[in-house]
Amino acid sequence: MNGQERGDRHVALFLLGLLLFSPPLLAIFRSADSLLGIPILYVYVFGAWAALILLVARFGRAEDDGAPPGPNEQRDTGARAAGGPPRPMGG
Amino acid sequence: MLTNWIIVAAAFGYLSLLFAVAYWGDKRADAGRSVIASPYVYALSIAVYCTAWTFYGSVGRAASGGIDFLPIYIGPTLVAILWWHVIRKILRISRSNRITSIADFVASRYGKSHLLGGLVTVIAVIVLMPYIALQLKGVSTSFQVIAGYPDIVMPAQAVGVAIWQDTALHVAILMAVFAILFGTRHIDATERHEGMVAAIAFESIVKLVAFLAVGVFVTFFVFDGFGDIFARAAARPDLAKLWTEVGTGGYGGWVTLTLLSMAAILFLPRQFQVSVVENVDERHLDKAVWLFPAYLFAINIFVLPIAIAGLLYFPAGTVDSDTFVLALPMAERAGWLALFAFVGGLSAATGMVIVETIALSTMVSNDLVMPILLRMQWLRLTERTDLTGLLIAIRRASIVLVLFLGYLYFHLIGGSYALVSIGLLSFAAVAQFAPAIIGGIYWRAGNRAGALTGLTSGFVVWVYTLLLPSFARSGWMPMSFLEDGLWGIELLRPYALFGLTGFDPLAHALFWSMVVNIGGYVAVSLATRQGATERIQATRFVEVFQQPDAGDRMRLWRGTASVGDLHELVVRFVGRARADQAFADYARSRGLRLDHKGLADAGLVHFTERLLAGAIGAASARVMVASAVKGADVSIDEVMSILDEASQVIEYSRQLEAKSHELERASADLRAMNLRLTELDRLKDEFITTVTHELRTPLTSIRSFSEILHDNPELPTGQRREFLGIVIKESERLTRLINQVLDLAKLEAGRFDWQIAAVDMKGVVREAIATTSQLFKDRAVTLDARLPDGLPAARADRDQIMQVTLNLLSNAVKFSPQGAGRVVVELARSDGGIQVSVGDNGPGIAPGSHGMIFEKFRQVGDTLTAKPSGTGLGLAICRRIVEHLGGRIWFESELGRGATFRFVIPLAEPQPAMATAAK
Repeated sequence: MNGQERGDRHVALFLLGLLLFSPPLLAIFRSADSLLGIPILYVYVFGAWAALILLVARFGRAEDDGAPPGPNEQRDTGARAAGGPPRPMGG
Repeated sequence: MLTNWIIVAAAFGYLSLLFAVAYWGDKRADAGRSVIASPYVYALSIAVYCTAWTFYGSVGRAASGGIDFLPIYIGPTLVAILWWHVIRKILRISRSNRITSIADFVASRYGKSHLLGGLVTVIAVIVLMPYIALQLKGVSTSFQVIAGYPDIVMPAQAVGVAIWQDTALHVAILMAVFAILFGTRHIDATERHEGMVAAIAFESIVKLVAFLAVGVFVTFFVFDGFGDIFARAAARPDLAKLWTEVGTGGYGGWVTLTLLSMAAILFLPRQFQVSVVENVDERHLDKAVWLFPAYLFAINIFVLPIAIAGLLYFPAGTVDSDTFVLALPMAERAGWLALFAFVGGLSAATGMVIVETIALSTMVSNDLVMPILLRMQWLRLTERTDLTGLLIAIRRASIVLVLFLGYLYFHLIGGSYALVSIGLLSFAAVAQFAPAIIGGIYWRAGNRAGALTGLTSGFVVWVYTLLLPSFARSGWMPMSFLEDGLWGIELLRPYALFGLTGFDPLAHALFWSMVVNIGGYVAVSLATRQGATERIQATRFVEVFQQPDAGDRMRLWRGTASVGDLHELVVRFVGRARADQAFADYARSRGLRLDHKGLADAGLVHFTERLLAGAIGAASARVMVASAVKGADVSIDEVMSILDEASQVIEYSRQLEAKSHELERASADLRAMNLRLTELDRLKDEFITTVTHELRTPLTSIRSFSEILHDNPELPTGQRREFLGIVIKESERLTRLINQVLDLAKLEAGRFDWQIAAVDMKGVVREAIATTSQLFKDRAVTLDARLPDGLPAARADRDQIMQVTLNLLSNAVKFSPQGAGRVVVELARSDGGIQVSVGDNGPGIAPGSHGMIFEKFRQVGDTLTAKPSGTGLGLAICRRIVEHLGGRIWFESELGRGATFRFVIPLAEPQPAMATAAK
């Protein structure tokens, strides 16, 4: 995944966020219904929020962004994370 | 159990711990083992966004508006997703321009304008005053609430407390001390404060844990889980409407708050400080984009349960919903939890105040005070070598000043407003920075005048529609200002400016301030021109990813391209052999072994760039290397400029091609010319040969007959006369030949003396006929002349045209059969002039000879057997003359049926067709 693709994903997720929290969608859930005793509106808002954060964590990062690095290794891992793996130049 | 003594001890104990953490952080930083070089610490430090407002105010707002408190956290969540674009760019710009605050950023972008920097600083100080006051109020109120333990007593107005007993003042003083100690310890280029960041991250943990603890306690111990709380609330219609009806702000309010908080997370000075200035490594953004939203999520999950629990628990109107976080544990006699909650709120407030004052003090000293001081020439500051002492003093003074002003605001009018409303006032003002900054990093044409206009007008509208009304509500101004508008003009009512009603005050203010702000910024930017510095800065900001400065490039490019990539890149432009050679030389000179899979160091990148610069120019080399190294960072503009260059090259090569085509054509012309010259040269030789031959023939006969006459004096008179006649005839022929050669030479050299005049062609033809009449008689050839009257005059040289006519007539006679010969001379008006034709009924001209009939010395007929009957120059001369006069000459002939020679001579003056027709 190169930088451009990554940037595009961030924009797409941002737009998804705008949609999820847009007043029209919220209006759909503004009712007296409840799920497990919790008003459906609150379930939706927090559920959507959590889902968005997970999506960003999952798709927004660079490919080989693995386990949390220790303070010393972190620079190197981060280096690949920032630039993506070296790509062969097309001829 | 909780005496005042314990509460104060806890507060001071906590603040001491904060000092210790900060001190430890600074020590570690000095030792080179940074504790903040981690994305987790980075994300936690950004959580300074959550202030006492979040801690207490969210619950208060949720209690009245349901999920209406959420946009303040949803907005930052959304923006955080875009950090990878926006903050990364701002980070890069700030790094390469050594930017230390938001005022600095704006000033630097618009041509390093002191005026703009000062304006941003002044606005920031003014608008953040209420926000700081809000924190002090939060601390003060919470102290008074918890001090009443175990009774829940709502505090009276803080104003009633003597100043030296006011908790808010004590807290403010302690915060000033902290900020001075850890915020102005030393001056350096990066303005980083590692100890402070460590303390802020620590505070973020404390406030989160404290809030979660209260949330868990209330939800699961006081009540029986989420379901229980909501089920009970659903039974009460006044509470159920929190999630079935639109909250206080409606859709407009939701959208407004989202937008405001989006601007706040980017442009609040403290957010800029922690997310940009204090950033250690831009790769931390990778994790922060979801860690920070996750933090916001966690700290908000119990807001609604606590708010509803508070509403269920306390009789309506007895307890201020802003204090539920404290009041619920207190009511349940959970003293230690209440104390922990108090410390959590304290940490939220101190974190915000400390970072905000440090950020503001940097702005005040760097963008307001120093520029003014440096301009005062009598201070001679520019001559002093070390100004750090002065800078630190200014910063410390401004920290004290900012906190004092905040305290003053709180003391004077802070008691009258709910927490959230004060904070939103600041948010709306901070949003005024958005057009100038966002425009500044993405729109190159945005300029200083535009930013000044937008910022000023947006701020003025903010003051008029939000700040002044808040004064009016606090009793500082007459309420009539709100109800009737300025000077009683309805259209100027601050909450319904120009008749815009139906919006809540915040949305209303945001709309009008953004209209004038964005409108002013764009319109003035388009209408005015940028100065040189502005233009340079604009490009440096907008294209920061393409042109990092030298020092930074080394840092940014390290480790992001492999040696193989760079090698391939060079191969593409200089060829494989040279690339191999260059890389081998480089490795040898540095004593390195280049591993093509390994990462290229900055030196190699630089070397590559220089290699390429030799081939494709420095600018293109920079772009190409950047593309290989970063992959994503070549902008459309850059590509377009490369394409421009490339298309220029193509254009040049096309021009070269055209030139070479031209050359080819020219050389083909030259070759043809050369061929013609060679031919002419050959013809000249031939001509000379022919002329000498032609001259020798008559000479020979003259000489032979003269010799005969000379050697035989006794020749009979008859024979003598005959021989003398031949000599005379041959001499005449010789003379004629020589005359004609001379004429031709003159004609060809263009040295002929032409006497151009209007010539009556009928007269010419008549005269020619008269001259040649003897010839006709001699050969018994009949002449048929058809000469009509009224022909216009021709433009010619009379003598020469006579010559032509004579030549044609004598030729016709010569080739007509003796006795039966018949020559027709005709004069006629023709296209473009007067046509003379002379036809005979002789043998005609063989088709093979047609091409050469007008050539010199070409005599038709078999020259070997028949004696030539002319000089062979006549027709050649005719053609020269006719063509010189602008006419043309040609002939028609059929073998055995005679030939007709025609020539056309142009008229003396072009006659209009109408005039001719009229005649």
